[in-house]
Amino acid sequence: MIEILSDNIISPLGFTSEENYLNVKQGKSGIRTYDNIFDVGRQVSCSRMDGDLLDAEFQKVTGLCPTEYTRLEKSALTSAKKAIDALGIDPKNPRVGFYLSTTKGNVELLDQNLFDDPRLYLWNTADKIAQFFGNPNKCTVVSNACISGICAIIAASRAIESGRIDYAVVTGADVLSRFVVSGFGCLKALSADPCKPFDKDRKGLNLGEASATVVLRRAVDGSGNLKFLRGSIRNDANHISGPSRTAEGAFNALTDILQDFDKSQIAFVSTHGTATAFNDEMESIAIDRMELNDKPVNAFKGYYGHTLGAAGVLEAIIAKHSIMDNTVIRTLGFENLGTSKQINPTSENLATDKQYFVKLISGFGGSNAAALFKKEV
Amino acid sequence: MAFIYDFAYINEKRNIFGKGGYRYNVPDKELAENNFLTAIYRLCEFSYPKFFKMDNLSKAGFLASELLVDELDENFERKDCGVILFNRVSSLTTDKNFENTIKDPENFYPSPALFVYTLPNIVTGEICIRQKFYGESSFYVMEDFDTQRIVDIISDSLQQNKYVMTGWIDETDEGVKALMFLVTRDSLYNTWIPFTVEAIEDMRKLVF
Repeated sequence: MIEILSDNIISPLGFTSEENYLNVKQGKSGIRTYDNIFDVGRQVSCSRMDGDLLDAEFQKVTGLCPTEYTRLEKSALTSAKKAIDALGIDPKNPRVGFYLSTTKGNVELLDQNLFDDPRLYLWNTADKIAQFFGNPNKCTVVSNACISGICAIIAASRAIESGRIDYAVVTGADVLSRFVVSGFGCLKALSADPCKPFDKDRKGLNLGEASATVVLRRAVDGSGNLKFLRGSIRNDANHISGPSRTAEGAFNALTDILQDFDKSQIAFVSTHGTATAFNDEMESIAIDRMELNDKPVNAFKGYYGHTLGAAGVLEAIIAKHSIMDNTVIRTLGFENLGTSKQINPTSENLATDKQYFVKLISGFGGSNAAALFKKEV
Repeated sequence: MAFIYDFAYINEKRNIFGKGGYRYNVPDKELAENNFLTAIYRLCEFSYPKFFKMDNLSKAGFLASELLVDELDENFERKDCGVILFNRVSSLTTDKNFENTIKDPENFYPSPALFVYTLPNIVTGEICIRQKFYGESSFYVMEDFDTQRIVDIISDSLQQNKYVMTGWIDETDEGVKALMFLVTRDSLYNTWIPFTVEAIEDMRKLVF
């Protein structure tokens, strides 16, 4: 078993997990509506970090010069540093492994016509992180579309359980770019207005940017830290850009993690909940097939947008802080159920005394992942 | 201990492809009519029209996976197989094509098919769809073919997957390179190739 020793979120809603969680709990959103962001010629709503604030925080935390680093590197390094600094561990120790979850890395450099820039390689960004901390290991890069964050947590946990490392620093990071706005635009997946997960009037997703870090180690009984019990990654084998009509992969992943488990102990399911018609429908089918219809279900996309490679890590951290606070967070943007299956998205913050939550996530390439977490009492 | 059931490979620069001990070249007259990957598709007489919509990473993954499952043991349970692949460049070649397309303001929202392939893990999805694999699918990016790290990651994943189709699949200016192998933890399929760093290093020297 694995536990989360410390965590950090760098996002438009703050530069610590605590600040982020409090803002989410109060219903604040990082999403703003832009008339022509990146000169894309249409109205788009997205959750964007203030560059000056990020630069100041980056310089304060790392002592490095902001002009020498990309936006992605700045947010990822700041997040990893703050998560590590909260602990007494030495990041130079070879028994510490670094993991980076990202979908597009520094792809914004292509928007700047830098087609031969070595920083376009995802491993270049990853190595910069490990080298900054003086860690001798290669940083492992997981690039598994939108489920990358949970995949990285699973991969790091396996490495700890196999005994190769004692601590894992898992950072999920992606930034907004013209490239990504165009891509999701051509899929007709973008909502011009703030998104409405699971709602009958949902019109698509909002993009977001963030970095989020968890530091993991083998669980210690009585430490009080959140435990990561089980994780599973499963493919739909159905379509590369559309989810399965039977939610096959999501259902199989949920089945794997909830085998022989008393589901009445689950406080909530933190879904992917992008607010696209297809994704939310698919997740409702997975939840229905799993007979979790009465469980509170939430999605954090109304606060952060879809933060791509950061999403799995960021959303697990918000879910962690909420269960530690005996709270189930409201699904911002949700009003009236708009899925074919009867499920229970939260329309307000709820109190809970239960100890377990499920994180569910899906992405292109037919990929799905589920993870089960437990609060120690 | 896990075993390598079989391996398949494609190396455009050396004009070779094959499976296990069988190695082939694409004849010049085929290359005059088709690009390297399409020529292999024609030579092997595969029939999968979706192939022509794929980017090169997915085409190479499709071809290697077809070679690997050819004459597979009938007890192999497809639904329990995962696909976990590794490379150096992620989807950067397709990313650059996409960026070049959207530089034209008239084409800022191009065909969705082009964007979808700007994710490296799409090839894992294409293989799962074609082969009806419902196991774990993942993609990792690393600077070099780091055999030890690949063996570590795949060994970990075999605790949750009976079989994993895995390997290296990359696209550079020199063309496409793929070395994929089917790894099994099931003693039913014990072959004489153990899943070790040494065995994979030997294969790599043979084909890259």
